[in-house]
Amino acid sequence: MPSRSDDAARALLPLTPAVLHILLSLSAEDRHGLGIAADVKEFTRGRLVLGPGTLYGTVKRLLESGMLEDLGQPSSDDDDPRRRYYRITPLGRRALELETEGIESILNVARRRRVLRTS
Amino acid sequence: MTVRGERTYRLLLRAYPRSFRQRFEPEMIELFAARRAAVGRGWRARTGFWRSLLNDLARSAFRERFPPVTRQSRLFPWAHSHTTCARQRFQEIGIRMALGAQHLDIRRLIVGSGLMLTVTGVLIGIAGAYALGRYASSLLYEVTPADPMTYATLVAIVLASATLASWLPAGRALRVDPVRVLRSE
Repeated sequence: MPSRSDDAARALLPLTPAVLHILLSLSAEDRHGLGIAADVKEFTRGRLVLGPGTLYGTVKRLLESGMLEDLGQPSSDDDDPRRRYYRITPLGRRALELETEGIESILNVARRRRVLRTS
Repeated sequence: MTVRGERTYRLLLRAYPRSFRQRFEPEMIELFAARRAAVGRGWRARTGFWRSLLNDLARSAFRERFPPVTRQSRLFPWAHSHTTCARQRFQEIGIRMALGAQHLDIRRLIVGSGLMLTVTGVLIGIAGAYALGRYASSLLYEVTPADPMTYATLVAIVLASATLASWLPAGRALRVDPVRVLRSE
């Protein structure tokens, strides 16, 4: 039986490409905006380059919807004081899981129907 | 140290609402500087960089200035304003209930004021449509500019959705606990 948190996460679906990639980036570790942009660019091999407006507009909406948490400015003196670190919340992680499960099922169909040839 | 173009970018950031700038401007400048520093010296690379930056800025600033509303509001924009009005009156409703107003009085108040607004808008709209209709007659097919059925259908849809848009939040407003409202006052 789906829990209440599942229902809350399901209500946030489908995720936009920017949201999906930002959550995926933060699923590995807490990052600041520049770190998220660099990570997304790296793991998409440059296919998705988040501009400052798209990145921070999306971060703002993710904070408002409770999928991200603002950890504030860095504690280390070596870090740039302009930066703020972000962390994915359990709600954000659940939404990400549900979205990627949906993508996986589509990919399975695509493989079975030989649309996608890689395994 | 500032990178080339940073001052221009700072000026362009004024396209965003003040609250957004106050929250994200330092981080956006940092990302801009990192991207700008990685761009090659060639004219083509710089043009491409600014083109994608301006594209990003225009789209995101528009979204921040005019956030998308709910699907219901996109279909029935007037319904959105009624719902918002009713929500804004929660405090007033709580106080009225604390002073002994009955549920029917409150519902009549909310739905009545919503409908009054709608009827005024509908009358202005009908007059405007009738006056401008003859200019659109060449674009119409098998229907006259003053077709009564079209007018009646549209008026019925507008009135029905406006009634619903006031009725539903009125129901929620009636569940307001007057004690909590008075405490928050």
